This record gives sequence, C-alpha cells and structure tokens, in this order.
Amino acid sequence: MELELSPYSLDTLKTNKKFLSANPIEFYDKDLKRAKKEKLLLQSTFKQALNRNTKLYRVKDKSKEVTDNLGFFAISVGNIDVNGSKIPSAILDYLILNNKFRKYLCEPNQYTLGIELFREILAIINDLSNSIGIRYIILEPLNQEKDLVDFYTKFGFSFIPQKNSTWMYLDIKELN
Amino acid sequence: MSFRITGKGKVTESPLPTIDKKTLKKMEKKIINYNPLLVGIKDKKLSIKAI
Repeated sequence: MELELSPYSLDTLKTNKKFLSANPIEFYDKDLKRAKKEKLLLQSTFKQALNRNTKLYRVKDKSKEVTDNLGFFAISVGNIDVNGSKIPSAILDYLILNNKFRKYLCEPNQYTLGIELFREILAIINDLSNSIGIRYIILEPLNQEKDLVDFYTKFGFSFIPQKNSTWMYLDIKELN
Repeated sequence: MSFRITGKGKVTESPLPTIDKKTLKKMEKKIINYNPLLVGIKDKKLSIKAI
C-alpha cells in the first residue's frame, strides 16, 4: 500500500460535507464511546478547515487496492508563547486512521499505516519549514492516552517540561 | 486548531502552550541522538494530490 495525501480545497470541503460525516462506523474505533469521540473531533476539525483555521487532508491508497479512506489529518501553524515572545510551530491538529487498516504495511519501508503516515506528515512539515519559520512540531494527544503518547514518544516527542502540560513537542532540527 | 473532549462529550478548543523561559531552555537542551523513524524524512518523496 502506498499513501496518497490529498489536501482539501475549500470548494471541495463545501461540497463534501455529507461525505465526510458519513464515514462508515467501521472507520472509527471498535469501542463505541471512543468512536463517538473520534467522529465528534473529525466534525469539529472539518468545521475549522471550512473556516481555514486548519488544513484537512484525506489519506488514500495510491494503488487503489484499498478504496476506503485510510485516514484524515489536519495541520496548522501557531505559536508557543514564552513570556509574550512567540515561537512559531507546526501543529498537528488531528489524526485518525481507519480502524480496519491500522495494521496494514505501507511502501516503501513496510512500516504500518500509522508510522508511515506520521512520517509523511513530518515530511510535509519539513517541506513547509524550508519556506517559513517553524521551530517546533507540537501536538496534544487525546486525553493523554497511553497508546497515543507511546506512539509519539517513539518518534522522539516528549511532553513540554512544564507542570501539567498536555502538549508534546519535537524540535524540527531533529528531522533528518 | 486542536481540540479536547470532556468526559461529557463536549468539544473545546485546546489553548496553545504558554511556557516560561526556564521551560524553553529545557526544551532546547533536549537532544535526540539517533531515531530511525526520523531518518529519511527530509528526502521523503510524497504523493500529494490536491482535491
């Protein structure tokens, strides 16, 4: 499986409202409570993408062996505030994988869908950092769930070393 | 714009981090020696097709 990432244009978002909210329930987590949360967050992210506050991407299999949506993610830029000074950062606003395909392996390195997709997201942010100032990549794992925190930690993310911080960060210089 | 969800299922916007200089210093000191998952990111060829 090879990933194809598609940023939604504003026009497409406007015409795809029903499509996005109509992902089959199998797309989401098996746990119905969690699935409901994931759906709510996708809807909220979708609304923010319509307001151009974040960029929403759809993930598909380029070879079309799998025709379902493999996932969605959204990225934006913002600032970490340090006593009034601003540190420009890329923000991973949202990431969801199709529950059915989480274990699938992807080209070219045979990483699982989650790892390969996250590497591609980092590559997008890296490209962006060649054009605009970005110092950190930051994200907030949902409810600091252990699986999510472990996943991001594997990539070198750590919690911002401040009491009760819910945000994780990675210095962009670590990408190589 | 990132979101949080409360126990009662209410979605709220996550405020971006506000930190002090001491925290920033700690962040700057962090070094990752080698992480295979970060290797090749800069040269990664992506398939991006706007829709």
